[in-house]
Amino acid sequence: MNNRLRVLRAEKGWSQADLADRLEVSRQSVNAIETGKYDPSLPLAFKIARLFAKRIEEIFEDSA
Amino acid sequence: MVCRVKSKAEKKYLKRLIWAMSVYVVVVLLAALLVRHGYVTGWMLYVVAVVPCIPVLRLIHVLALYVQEETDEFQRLLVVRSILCGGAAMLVVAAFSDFLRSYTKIGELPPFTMFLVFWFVFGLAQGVQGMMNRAVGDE
Repeated sequence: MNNRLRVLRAEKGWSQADLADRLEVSRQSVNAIETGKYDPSLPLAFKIARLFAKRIEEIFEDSA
Repeated sequence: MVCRVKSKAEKKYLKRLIWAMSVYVVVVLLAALLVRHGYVTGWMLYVVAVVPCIPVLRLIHVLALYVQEETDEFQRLLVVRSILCGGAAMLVVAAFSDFLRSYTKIGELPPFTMFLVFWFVFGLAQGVQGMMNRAVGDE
């Protein structure tokens, strides 16, 4: 699954650590999601969407 | 070196793990001492053999508690993968030893090998995954 997390985070001027704090996850997790190594669960995807005030499909895109 | 901030669940897990490991080591040494000096004989040997299994169960319980309490789902996944790696290694070594013993009458492993194999591979898997998923530099 592709995502725009890195771009959205850069627009806000946040570091990975800042985003990790806001999402209450580790920086390693943010990095894994951004690099596409890990697809977040639905609750975490909703949390990310709420944080950026966007819909899930505006952040995550099905690569299939 | 980049140090990752430990979660609340991880801190609790490490504290519990150290305690459980310490209890295990003490119980094993005590049991070995009692048996070696002949204080325990007959059916009591079964009891002495069962007692160290209790801290082993506690160690697995500690892992289960961590998986239950960790709110960071990615970290949880890494630990579950490590548990699987440890379990797989332990089963492979056990199967190899059992087959070798049944075919050739040799291949009996020294005591506590399985325990060491599980924890060594579990730790190794944790380390490798940590390296592979390392977040270098704060972008």
